[in-house]
Amino acid sequence: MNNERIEKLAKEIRIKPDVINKDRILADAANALEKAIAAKAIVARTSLWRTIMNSRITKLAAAAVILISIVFLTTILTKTTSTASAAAVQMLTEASKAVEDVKSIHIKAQMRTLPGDNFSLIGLEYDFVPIEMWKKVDDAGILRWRIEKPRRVIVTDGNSTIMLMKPNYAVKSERPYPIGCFDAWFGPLMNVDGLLDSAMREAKNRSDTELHLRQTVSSSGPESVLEIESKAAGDLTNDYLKNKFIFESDHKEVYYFDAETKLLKGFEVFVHTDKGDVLIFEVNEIEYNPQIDDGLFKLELPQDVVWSQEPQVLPDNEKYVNMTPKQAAEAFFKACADANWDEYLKFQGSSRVDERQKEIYGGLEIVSIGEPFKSGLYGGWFVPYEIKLRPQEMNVRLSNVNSAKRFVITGWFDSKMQLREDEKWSNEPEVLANNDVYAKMSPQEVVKAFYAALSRQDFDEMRKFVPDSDIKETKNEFKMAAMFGIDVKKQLPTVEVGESSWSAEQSAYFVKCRESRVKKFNLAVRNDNPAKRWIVDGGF
Amino acid sequence: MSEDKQILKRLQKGDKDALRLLYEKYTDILVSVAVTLVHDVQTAEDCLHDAFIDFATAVPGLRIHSNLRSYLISCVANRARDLLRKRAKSANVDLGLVELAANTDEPSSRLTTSEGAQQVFDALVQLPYEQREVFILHVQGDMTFQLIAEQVGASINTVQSRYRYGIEKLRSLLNTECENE
Repeated sequence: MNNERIEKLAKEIRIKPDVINKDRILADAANALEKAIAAKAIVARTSLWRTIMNSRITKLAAAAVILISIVFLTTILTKTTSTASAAAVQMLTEASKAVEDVKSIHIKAQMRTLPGDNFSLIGLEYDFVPIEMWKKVDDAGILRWRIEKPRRVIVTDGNSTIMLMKPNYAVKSERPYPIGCFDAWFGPLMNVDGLLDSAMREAKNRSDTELHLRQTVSSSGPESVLEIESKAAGDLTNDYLKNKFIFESDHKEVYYFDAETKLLKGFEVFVHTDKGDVLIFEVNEIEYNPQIDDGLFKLELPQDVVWSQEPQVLPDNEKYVNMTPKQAAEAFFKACADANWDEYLKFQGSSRVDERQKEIYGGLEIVSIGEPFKSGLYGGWFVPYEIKLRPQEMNVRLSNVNSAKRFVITGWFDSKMQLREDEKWSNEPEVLANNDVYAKMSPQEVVKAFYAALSRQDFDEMRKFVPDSDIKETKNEFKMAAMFGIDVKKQLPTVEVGESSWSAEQSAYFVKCRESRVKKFNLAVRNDNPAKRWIVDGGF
Repeated sequence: MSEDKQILKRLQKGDKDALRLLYEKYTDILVSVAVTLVHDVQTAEDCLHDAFIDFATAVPGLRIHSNLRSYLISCVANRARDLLRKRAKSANVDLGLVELAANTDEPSSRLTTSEGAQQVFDALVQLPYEQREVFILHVQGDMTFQLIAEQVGASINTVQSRYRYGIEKLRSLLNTECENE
């Protein structure tokens, strides 16, 4: 049978449509059509709309559909008797109409995660990171949304979707992806009128989900509280990913509603641990129908952006397809060791190699590659590795032009004097109790003292040389490393501090340093892409 | 003005009868695409149901150049992909490994076409999902590779590769079957 024949026969495939419940489809579609047209009409009445939404009661009613979903879910899925009376259901039904009118929403939340990592990454010990979400539907029904944490942002402008991992790595789809894509699992909170469907579908798909509805009284008045309990998903025979991502944790989502107005007042997520529940996510503020400037849905991209791209089938694709995860990791590290960046790109889902990556990983030495393992929901493999990085030359910028008149670190530069990281001092360095001791230190001595404090993980001492924001980030990195089983002390860099020099151009001193380090971690590789090749997905 | 543009105009005025008209016009191809994609009538019905709701929700802001056929087929394909992804996620398997064979008797018994078409239908289920999707959208849906690429969020080269691998595997499967007979 040739290709033409196969295509012809495929075209002939017809299934009798009478097996389909036409009436159900048409009734629901008609209902959706009615709502969509009504929503558009509401947007057209802008001035009236603003007046209505200035009323607190109407605003409060805007989230009521969520509670309806809760009553429904509780009744249907857990067979728990709903306490909602017929009058309450009627009231909720009326209130739900106001929810349909929500055309924009702004949510402020915080989560124990890392500023630049996956949105679903969690850490029981991490500090809270602010998260902000915006959604807007315009007159033509075009949906725009934005979800952001300090070093990662996703934006849909109605035509395409971009996720930027700062400073310069980006993923783009030429489609307006739905809210919640790219693992922004909390994004669907903004789908106020669709939360019912999504929550119900999720609950139906997960037999281990439990729902509870209870009434309580808080300091702000009576509340209806919905709790959704979910077990950690995936195979955790190897528990490497347990409690590291929201889906791989036993957790509880809690929705708080004002009992009177049915307004969603808050949302929290707790991870269950042997030592008790840990609050991992909480909504601080929800604003319905705020004015949102369209500029918020346009993303400014850096000029040197590196785009993620789907792996293409290579001329010698089979060679890579046939590799085991361990062989792929070996080949990848060998490409780095040889500074063979064409080969390196065959294991990457990106368009080019960032110069900084070349500088850091070029010429590395492979110490060992361990046996691959799987964990949780992750579709790929983790390959333990230990590598020795080539010593890195760098320059530390210091200045004592501050009220404490002592040298502090103001930036990190590479060997070519390209800025790697600016240290932003939002407050002046404080005058220390023994300030004179530090004011007498030379730039070289300050750098040595900083690294000595780092090797001891003495954050109080480090704080004398770098801003609090740096300390916070370093602490989080240490916590993350510890969480992933990394012996931080063994992996801290060994630093040789060299000579210092004055830069008239920057009005600052620079101290040359040479940093050596060993890295021991787990490389995440996966091959579920069209080319079926192993791609390095993380852990590097 | 094309018939579909007239239907869309009526829909945008809230005419629900126009929805029925559209359903009658395209249900045949939409059901076929859905069942061939998911190989299960119940799931296919869910896809069709959700696709029509997606379409109805989008009606106020929708603009079309010619007809609604490709748009509706895309809606069905999107929903099929979503449903199977969810199933894959809950089963913790790759999308292409989602179990599709359970209800194959049901749709095939309602096939209204030749034995050859039946064989192709049965062979299609053995393709990885991405390949099956591209093949069906291109052959049954008459969609260009460019349009498919935009719909599935992949490059045109990737889509063409998926198609090439898909049809090669089909040919291999069908010819092996013929030899065994």
